[in-house]
This record gives sequence, C-alpha cells and structure tokens, in this order.
Amino acid sequence: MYSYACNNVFSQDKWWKEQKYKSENIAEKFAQCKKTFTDVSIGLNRANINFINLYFDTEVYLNIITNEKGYYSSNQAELMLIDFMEYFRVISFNYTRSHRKNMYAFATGKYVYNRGSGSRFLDVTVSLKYRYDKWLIDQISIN
Amino acid sequence: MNKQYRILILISIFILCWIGIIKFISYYFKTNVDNEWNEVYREQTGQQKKLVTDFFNASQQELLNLSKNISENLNIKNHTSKNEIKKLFEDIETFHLNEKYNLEIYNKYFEQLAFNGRRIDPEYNLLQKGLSGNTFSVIKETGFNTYLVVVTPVNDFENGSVNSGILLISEIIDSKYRLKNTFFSSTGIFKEMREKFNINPAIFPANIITGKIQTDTLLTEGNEQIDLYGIDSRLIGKITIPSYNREQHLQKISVLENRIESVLVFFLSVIVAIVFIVVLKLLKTRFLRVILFFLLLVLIRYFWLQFDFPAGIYAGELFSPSYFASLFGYGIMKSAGELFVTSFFFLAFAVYASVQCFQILNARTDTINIKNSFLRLLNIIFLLLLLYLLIDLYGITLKSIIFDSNVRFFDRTKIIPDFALFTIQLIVLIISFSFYALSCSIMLIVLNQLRISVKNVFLRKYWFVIIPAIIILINYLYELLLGSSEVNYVIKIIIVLLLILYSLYVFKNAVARKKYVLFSLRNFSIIILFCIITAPAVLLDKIKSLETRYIELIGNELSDDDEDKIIFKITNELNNMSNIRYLENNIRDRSKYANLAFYLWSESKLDAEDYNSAVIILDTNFKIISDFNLDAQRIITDSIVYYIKKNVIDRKLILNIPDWESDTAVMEYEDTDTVFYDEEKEENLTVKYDKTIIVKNSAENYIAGLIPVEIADLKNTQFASNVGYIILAINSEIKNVNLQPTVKMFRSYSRDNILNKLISKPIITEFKSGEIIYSSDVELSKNIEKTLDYLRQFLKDKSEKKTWRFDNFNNEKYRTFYVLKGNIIGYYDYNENDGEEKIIAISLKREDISEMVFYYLKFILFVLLIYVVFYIIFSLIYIRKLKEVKINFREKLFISFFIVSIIPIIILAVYTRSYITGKNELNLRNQLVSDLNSTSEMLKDVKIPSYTGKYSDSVLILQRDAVKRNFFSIDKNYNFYFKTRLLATTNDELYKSDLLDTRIESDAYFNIVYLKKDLYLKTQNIGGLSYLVGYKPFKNKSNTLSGIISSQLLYKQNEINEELTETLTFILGTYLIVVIILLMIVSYLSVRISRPLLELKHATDKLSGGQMDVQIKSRSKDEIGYLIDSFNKMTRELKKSREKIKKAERDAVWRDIARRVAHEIRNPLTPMRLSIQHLYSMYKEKKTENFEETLTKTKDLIVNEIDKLDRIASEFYKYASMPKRNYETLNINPILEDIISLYEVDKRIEFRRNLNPDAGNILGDREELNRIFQNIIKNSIQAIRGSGYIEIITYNMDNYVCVEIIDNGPGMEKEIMEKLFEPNFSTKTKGTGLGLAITKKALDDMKAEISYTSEVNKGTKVTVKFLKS
Repeated sequence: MYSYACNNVFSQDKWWKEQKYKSENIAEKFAQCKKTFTDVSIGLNRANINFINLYFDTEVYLNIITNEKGYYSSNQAELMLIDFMEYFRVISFNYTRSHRKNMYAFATGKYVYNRGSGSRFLDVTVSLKYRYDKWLIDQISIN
Repeated sequence: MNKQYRILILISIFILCWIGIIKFISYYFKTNVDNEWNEVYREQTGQQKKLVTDFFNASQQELLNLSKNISENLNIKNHTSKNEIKKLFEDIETFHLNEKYNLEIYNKYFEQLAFNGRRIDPEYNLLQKGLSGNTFSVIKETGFNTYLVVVTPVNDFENGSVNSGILLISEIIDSKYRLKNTFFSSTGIFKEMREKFNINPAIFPANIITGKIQTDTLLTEGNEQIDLYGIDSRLIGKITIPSYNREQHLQKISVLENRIESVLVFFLSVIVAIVFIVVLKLLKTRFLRVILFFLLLVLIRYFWLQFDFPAGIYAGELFSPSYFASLFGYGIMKSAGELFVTSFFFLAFAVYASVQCFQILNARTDTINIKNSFLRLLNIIFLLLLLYLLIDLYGITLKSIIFDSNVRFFDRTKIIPDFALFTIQLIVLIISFSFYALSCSIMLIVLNQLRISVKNVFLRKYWFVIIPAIIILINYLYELLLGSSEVNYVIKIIIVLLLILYSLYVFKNAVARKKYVLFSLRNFSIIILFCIITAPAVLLDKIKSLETRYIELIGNELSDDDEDKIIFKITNELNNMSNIRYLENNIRDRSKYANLAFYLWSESKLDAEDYNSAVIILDTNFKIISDFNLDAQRIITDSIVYYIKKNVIDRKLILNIPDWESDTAVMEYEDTDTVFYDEEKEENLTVKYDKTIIVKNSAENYIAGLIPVEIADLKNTQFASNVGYIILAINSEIKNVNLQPTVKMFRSYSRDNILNKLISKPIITEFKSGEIIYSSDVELSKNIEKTLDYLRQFLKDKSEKKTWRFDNFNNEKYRTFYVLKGNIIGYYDYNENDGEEKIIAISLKREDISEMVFYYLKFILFVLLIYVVFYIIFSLIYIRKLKEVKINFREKLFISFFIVSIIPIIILAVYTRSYITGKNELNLRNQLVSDLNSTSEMLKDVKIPSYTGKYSDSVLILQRDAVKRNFFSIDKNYNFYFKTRLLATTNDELYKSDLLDTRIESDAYFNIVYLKKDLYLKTQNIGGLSYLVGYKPFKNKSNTLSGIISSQLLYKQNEINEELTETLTFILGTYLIVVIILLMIVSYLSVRISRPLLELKHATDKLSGGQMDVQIKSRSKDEIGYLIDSFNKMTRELKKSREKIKKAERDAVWRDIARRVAHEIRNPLTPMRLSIQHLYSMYKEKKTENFEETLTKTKDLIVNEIDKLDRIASEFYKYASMPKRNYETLNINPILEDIISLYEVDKRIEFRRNLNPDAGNILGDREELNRIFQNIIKNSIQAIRGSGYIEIITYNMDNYVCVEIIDNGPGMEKEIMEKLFEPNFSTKTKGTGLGLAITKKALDDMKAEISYTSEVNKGTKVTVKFLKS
C-alpha cells in the first residue's frame, strides 16, 4: 500500500505546475519548494514523520483535528503528528492544489484514512515559508 | 530463601500467567468478533439506544415536574390572571431556578409577562395549543441552540376550568457551536450524555406544525436513529448516534486489555523492584549498588513505557503531547504525564543515592579504598565533574520544560494555577528537589574524601578554595569544548554555595551525632527552600536567554508580506464555504438568516488566525442577508459591500463564466500574469482566482473575496445557477498580533502564542514613511521616532535589514529589534521598488525587576501550597507512629511564638485582600457608572419612543441607526435595549454568534423597569469568563423610560483580572516571605531559649548515671543562667561528698580484708605452733617412741597448713588482680559440654543437657568462661547431698543468650542469697568466700548478668544472661 501511495505522490502532478523562471536561482528555489511539499506528502503517505520533521522550524503552527490549534515546539509537533497518524491510519494522501509566491507556498490536499467502517477524508493544508535559505513548514492544518 | 520472598516470586509468576491469559482471552474475543458480530452489534446498539432514550426521558420528566410545580403555584396563577408582571417576576425569583432552565410566562393574549434565562421565541400556534389546555413538549431551534421546551397552561386563579396563561420551560439539548474554547463550550443534555456514556449524539427536531423531520443525509449515514417522543406521546424529533462498528468494538477490547495489562505490569515491576533491592543489600560496594539501582529504575521505566503504564489507565490530556513533549529519552518525556512519572523515578534514584551516601558517612568508612593522595584528588575532581554535569543537566531539563511546553508558564490571570500549569510546576519542583538531593550526595562524598585525606594537609585545610577552583576549571574546559553551559554563572555559583553549605551542615551532624536522621522535616524544608531560591531563577534566566530568539521570530513574522497568505486563505475558505450544503438550504430560509454568517465563519479556519475577518452573505440581488464581523469598527460591512459592488458586480466581472479547470487559474496567478483590472489607485487590485474574485482595498486596509453559491445538484451543468454570494474580508494589522480582545474571544484555542512565552509584554511600533501608524505604547514609540532617520539609513545599508539596539527611555532600559519591511535581499526579492517602506520596532524592557519579583512570588505561593500538603501528611504519619502525642517544651514554645506572630499577619492579609478586592470592585463600578452616564448624555438628543407610546417598526429602525451612529463615535462597549429586545450594540459579534442573548437579562429588566432603580450591576458569564455589566434606564426629554443602556467590562475583564492577580500576588507573596522569615526567627528563638534547659536535662541524666564531673557553660545572666550556676555548684559539692564517702568505704573494705586475712592466716598458725611446740617438747624430753610418727604428722600438718595459706594468698590475689582477657565471639554450648564431661565422673550426679544449637554467639574470654561455669557447677555439685541432678539449659531471648543451671540441692535461704556475691562470704567450711565474688566480677566485665533463684529443699537456679555478639 505504501509503495502505491508513494508513487501516487509523484504521479499526481496536476497540483504543481512547472514553470520557466527568470533565473536559475529562482528555479532552484521553487524546485526545493516542490521537494518539501513532496516530502511532506511522502511522510503522510507512509505515516513516517522523518520525511516531515526535516522541515520543522523551532515553532510550528499546528491545527490538527485531535488537538488544540496553536504554536507547538518542533518536539511537540513531531509527537503530535505521530499520534495523529497512528489514530487516523492513512490510505492515501494527494495534493489537490498549490500556490506559491516569493516567500510563501501553500498546498491543500486530501488525507484519506481508515477508521471504523469505511474510509473518510480530512482536508490538509500545508504552508511553507522561506527562511534561512530553505523552505520550512509554517503551518499544517488537518481537519 | 526467606518465606516472604518465595511468596513474592510466586505472585510474580501468577501475574505473568495472568498477562498470558489476558492476551489469550483478548485474542479469542478479537478472532471471534466476526462470527458473533451480529449479536454483539445488536446488544451494544440496543444498550446505547436505551441509555440515550432513558436519559432524554428523565430530563424531559424533570422539566415537566418543574413546569407543573410552577404552573400550579397559586401566586403564579393569581398574578398571571391579573397580568401583574412585577409580582410574577418576584414569584419566579422565589423558585430559585437552576441556571440551565429558561422560563417564559405569557398571558391569554400571548403577551410575554415575565421571563428568566435565554429567550425561547415560541411560535403563535405553540402558545395557542398551550392555552387550549394541553401540556406538551417540543424540540425547538433558536439561534445556535436546540431546546427541549415544555409548554404548560396556567389555569385561571378564580375559574380553574379556564386557562389564563401559558408557561414555557426549556433546557438546552445541544449547541451548534463549532468553536471550542473557554467561551464556546457546548452545554445541555447532550453534553452530560457525552460525559456520562461517551456517546456523541446529534439532534433533528420535528417541525412544530407538520411534525416532519428533516434529517441531514450526511449525518444519518452510518448512524443509528432514535425516535424521541414528547409528553403527549407525539414524535418530537430524532437523535442519531454513530453506529457501533467492528473497529470500535475491537478497540474497546484492546483498551480493556491494555488497562489490565498495565496494572499487572505495575504490580510485577513493584515486586521485581522489592526483590532487587533486597539483593542489592547483599552487595558490599555501595557505588555498585547505586549503579545497579539506577539500571533497575531505567529498566522499569522503559518496561512501563512499553506496556503503556500509566497512560493506558488514564488517557487524559496529560498524556497527550499538546501540553508538553520532548523527544529526549525515547518516550520517557513524550508528554507531561510521562515526564511526571520520569521525574518520580529521578526522585527515587536521588533519595536512594542520598541514603547510600549517608550510610557511608554513618559507617565512617571510605567510599573507595584509595591510598594515594593524587588518585584521591583525581577522584574528587571526577565527582565534581559529575556535579557540574548534573547542574547542566538540570538546566537542560528546565529549558526543555519551558520550550517544549505549550503551557503558559507565567499566567498572570490566576493566582492558583490551572491543572496543566500545576502539573508542570510540580514537575519543576520534583526535578529541583531530586537535583539537590543528588548533588548534596555527591558533595557529601567529596567532603568525606577530604576528611579521610588526613595526610594531605593542604587538601584538608583549603578545601573551600579547592572545590570552587576545580568547578571553575571544569566550567572553563566545558565551555571551551562543548560551548556555553545551560545555567547562568551567577546561578551556578549560588547553587554550588548552597550545596557546599548544606552538605557541610549534614556532614558535620552526621559525623558528630550518632542519631542524626536524614529524612527529617528540617532537611526537607531546607531543600525546598533551595528550590524556591534557584528554580524560578533558572526558569527566568532561560526565558530571558531565549527572548532574543522569540522577538526576532515575531519581527520576522510581522515584516513578512501577508498578502499572499491572506489571498490564499480567502480563496481556500471561500471554496470550502461555497460547498457547505447547509448554506444552500438555509440561504433561502429567512428564519435562519440571523446566524448564518457566523455559522460559516465558525466552520472556517479563520478562528485560528490573528486576523480581523468578516463573512457577509448576499442574496442574488446583492443585498446583505446575514453578516458576521469580528471587529465592526475596523472593517465596516457596508463599506465592503459597497466597494465590491462598485468594483466587481457593477463591472459584471462576476458574470464571467468560471474556468472550471482550476489549475489554469492557479497558474495564471502564480505566474503573476493574472488579469488586473485597472483601479482608481494602483494599490487597489482586483484579481480573478478560480471562481473567486479578490479585491484589495489599500485605503481601508483589507482584502476581500467574493464567490457565488451555486445549487449543488446543478453544478457544472448548463443549468448552473446561483442562489447567493459569500464575501469574506480579512484585515491584517500588526495590532492583531497583540491579540486584541475581540479576536481572542473568538479564537478557537486558548493556548499561547509566541508573545506569551515572554515575561513582559513587548511594545510594538510600526512606522510607515517615518510616521507612526501603529503603536502599543505611543510615549515610547515617539522616543524611537526621534532617532529613526539615522536608523533607517543604517538598516538600508545592512544586508539583513534588521538590527538590535539598546535604548534608554524615561530612565528605563529597553532593547529594541528593528526590521525594515519589504526589502530583504537574499530572499530573491521581487518587490524591490515597491516604494512602501515600513519599519517595525519591537521593544522590550531589559531589567523588568517587578515582573521577575511577581513570578518569583507566584512560584513561592505554589511551593508553599505543596509544602503545606506535605507538612500535613508528614505530621499525620508522625502522630500515627506515636502512641500518645507528646509535645516537648521547645515545640510548645515554637507553636506559641508562631501563633502569636502569625495571627496578626493573617488578619492583616485577609483584610488587605478584601480591601483590595473591594476597592477594585468600587473602581469598576464607578467606571461603569460614569460610562453609562456619558452615553446617556450623548444619546439625549436621539428621539426614541417611550414604552407606553405608539410607534411603528420603521421609526424604530431609524432610531436604531441613530443610536448606532452615536455608539461608533466612542471607544466603549454599549448596548441599547428597547423594552426587552436589543436595539443597537457596539458588539454585534457577541449577539450574532449567540454568545449573548438579544433579550435583556431578566433581573436587570425587573430592577430597572419595575423596581425603578437608577443603576443595576450584575456579574454575568460567558463560558468560563465572568464579567461585570451595568444597566441604566434611558429617559427621553419628557423623562419617561424609553430604553435601557448597558455597558459591559467583558473585553477588559482579562486586564482587570491580571491587575487584581498581580496586586494580590505581591501582597500575599510579601506576607508569605514575612511568614518564612518569622518562622526562622521563631525557630531560632525557641532553640535559644530551650537549649540551656535541654543541656541541663542532659547534664542531670549524666549525673544520675554516675558521672560527677558534669559542668554546663552558662551563656546568660538571667534566671536560667542562675539555675545553671546552682547546678554546677551542686555537682561540685556532690563530687566532693562522694569522694569522701568513697574514701571511707575504701578504708572500711581494707580494714575488713585485713581483719579477714589476719584471721585466715592466724587459723593455720595455731595448729602449726601447737604441733611444733609438741614436737619440740618430745625432743626435749627425749621421747623417742612415736617421735618419728609425730614428726611426720607434724610435717604433714605444717605442709598442709602452708598449702592452705598459699591457697588463701592466691585466692586473694585472684580477686584483686585484673588478668588480661582475650575476647572473642564464642558459642557457649561447647564450653558447657567440656565442663560437664569433667564432672560426669561423679556417678551420684545426673547431668541433664538442654543446649539449644541456635542460642547464638556471645563475646567473651574462653578461659574466664570456663572458670565461671566450673565455679557455678562445682557449687551445685557441692550443694547436692547424696544423689541428685543438675540441668543445664541454653536458650535465646531477645538480644540475649541465656544459660540456666538448675540443681535439686537443698536450696538457700533469703539471707544467704542476699550475701552470695560478697567477698569472703561462704557457707562451706573450706571455702574462702571469694569464688562467686570473682565470678560476678568477671561476668560484669563481659557485660553479662547473673541471678540466683532458690527455694529451700527444692533447689537452686542460676541464670546467666550474655549479650548476643
């Protein structure tokens, strides 16, 4: 299932439009941005936090259905996401749309999970900010 | 192996078996679920349905009973019949209705007479049905609440068969709030159900007229439906509960299995720990013991973690990472609960290590047998390195507690912390306590090492210089190799000093006193005092040290361009909103308009943002049908609609056929080639993004989006059509970061933002083109403005566009972080020539002493609370141990001093507290009164019809607008009520969100209108927030009542609470410190007074024990001093007289001995003299016959007598001499056996042996013991005339080994027994009388006791009691 989910992330390109940028630097910057989003989606698809926690800043804003919204330390954010992924067993996660600008990038997706009878889904919004020459996770919202 | 341990091991095996059995049972159930699923499902569903129905019916019955009780009340009947409203209000008051019930009484003309609680708004036909004489119940939706309403007719007072009114009583079933925070908590019947049965129900009311139930298909799918019947057995609605599913069932089994397992694992680990600790005791090396104990604790901790103990039993928020979570230790700190457990393990280890260390001191032995001084020094350095690392670890742990926690550590609103903060503070205290216990142990070992280094004078003499020097060296090397330490230098020095002082104190006591107790209240209190001194200091230092990071983070957040983020949020949220089916259904229903916009807003994620936002719903004619605005003074609804109409609707942009391929639109925008429609100003943009039209209004500083609401079923078809439009407007300002109260009230979480992690509030200023456009402290910002020109240039030249600067404003030190907004090189900036230059300055006080003192005092208050609890527990245990409570003089003195000194302080504290609270209330009251007066004055020109006059709706609407206009000109909160209904308010958001009822509070209405009061104040609640509301009548020019004005302190309440908490903390904290100082003084005084008396007591004890040279040093010249002098004089006199007596006794003894020696010597001399004289006369008379025979006889006699003399001499010698003895541990039985074998040759005596092999060993001299028992046994043999027996018994009694020698001789008389041990007393003709005296003396030397019991003609029993070795 995991390999399927993982392939699915790379195959669903609709959400991300490759564009021609004026300079190589900018092209590189947005390639990094895509990689960050992709890693987050791999992490969610494989229920593996190690793909996601690479991009945590010291404080991460989380809005997860199971917990109160707010700024959490990276340690807390990591454990909260682990808890979430254990509770809502992933079937698949796909981005539906994305938007990126100079310092910010956003993407929304559907997190399909198995809990109880049948599968249900949650909306996931991931926003990234460009800090210290890399894209870091600014907010993750799952509800 | 001991029997107890065998039992423990058996129990462990039993527990292991149980774990196995439970695993098997759980597996069995899980695998059998499929086979028996239908049965399980039926049973569980039936059970859940029954629970819900029963609970609902019980609530309904309760409501009915209450309703009957009220409607049948004679006063109610009478006053309803006569329309006496005032009296009806008074009657309702007498029932003291619970807050959860709402009540309304109508007369037969359906006019509302009296009311209480929230409005029910009954329909006309409902009242009609009620008046016709039916008692019935309905389920009714009003605003966001669903009520269960019981309608009861009120009979006419005079004619019982006619009804003169209707009584309605309601209770909330459920609220539709999607927001969950302190203010928006759901209430009602369902809340109770959720808490009691863990079932999550939803309600669908039946239409009051048609009785039809419209259930949401989305909600009924996968749910069980339960029909609800009213009092008149009509179907009034449906409840749906989630269907019981397989996964849920399996989870239930797993949870149960986990719970049982974790409890069993807990018991198992306790047993393992006990056994292990016993085994540890056998080890000789204490160091190894401590290491192994540590390993045991680590093992058990991970064992618990593996089996989810105690999280498996108590799965609350305490064990979720949302309070606290650290990745350290593979899970042992993954939540506040786990950290709590871990800290207890740390405490256990610290206590164990302290005990071991203390035992080393008590045993006065060396820890490690190192003889080389250099190695010993190395050992000391190693220990100090360990201590240093421990201090650093302590710093790291506290740092993690603050920064991996979401708890607002420095809560200013409450003195007593909430549960989360309480837990975290308790953890800090436990860790601090353990840290000190462990550090002290290390320091004690260091001191012990130094003590043992007798030879190394240098080490011993200058230890107090050497220890800090070594620590400083370690610190230097540590920072050189590993970077800066986690604890500040000053704090480190304080910690080390405290440790040295305390360790020295414990060390001296432990070495000097034999009975020094480690676990005493004094030691506990000292360590707690240390925790109070250092724990807040370390915490505050940590916060200060990371302040820079947080301020920079805030600066970066503020300087970021939010526009993209906002546009994304708007498009995202609008897309989601337009897909909500509820909206499509309700947009056509006029009765649902009121809360529609708020419903959408609360469903969105906007409640999690620091933005001002507004949701406006338009119909197809672009008229507002519902709106919700978070701060109506910032973004004005009408203005937004006008602007959008002008720029979007009037230009027919909305009619463009949407591009269904959303990605195209996204790409267009991402390419920044989006279609821009020219505007009057360049900054105002209009962007088409997907189906959403985005407009930006720079003048009013908001971005708004518009999306059409389509009929869902016709979407994407040629018949696609709109039913309305949604507008979402967002205004983002720096001001919002400071969390304005409105935003805070509606934020869906109450945890902290980054600002809360700082001790003091930063002052934020925003400059645009050199002018202040926002400031949270204008005075300070103006000071910054003066030097801004220079700074701007400096920032422009700087590559990072940000800098820190230290300022001094108004004699207060500040540090300020400056960020230049919109021009940040290094981030591939596109907006280099935007022209808009903003500088954001965040200033923070540098040394905010008052804040620090506040937090210090708060922590002290918390610790005191814990300390008092422990003190009570400790006292209870202590009292239980004692059979009778004895309070000695010193304690009495302490208690009386303490009571005398603390009573005035308590009285003063209570008085001050009530005074401050009273003063605070008075201030608030005055403030409210003056606010209401000024509003009243302001509105005096507004024409509002009087209550009695006639008016039309249109007049009222005009008046409302007039009142509203006036309201917006002032910066206060006001509401204007016309009759019972709200006419206008400055806080629309509170009423639109249904947080407050639009009907006036019944008490206020009654007091103003009927009791004609000029002012009425009341404390009201929203969720957990209490606030004060003032009501005042509004009179028009003709002085008739035409409305009620109210003003509430709702948004100020937090500030008010903070102020009050701060004042109270300062006062109570100061009193507390005074109490602590008093305690110390009282303790010192009581010790000072009672010490001489105690010394006197010890001296008297010594005196009674025979020590005559006792003298006490007299320190004072008061009564006690005189007493001590008299005592000293008395002991001196006593000593003198005792010496005289001793001398006299000695003389007497010597005289007696001399007399006896002379007598004994004289006795043989007489026969010798006579024999020699006889022999000489024979020789003189030359009697040759028999001469030889006589000579032989005489020789024999003389030799015999000389032998006797020799014996006498040696006996006396033995008595006087002190032979050197060789003491060793011996078993008494073999010695006795040897002696018996010597005497067994005498056949006339029967020896009976009863020697217990477990009698135990004694300490004694083998030769001496041989002599002693020979003497005793010989005496017994000599006593027996003819034949007899001697029984020898050894046995064990308490701490003694006893030997009994029993004979059946003639026994002794009392007089003889009394003189038995006197020297020279003997009943035998040949005896010297020294045998038993010598025996007694030898036994005394061995600390053994000898006693005789005897009965004449029956026998004698000799008992010798030896102390066990």
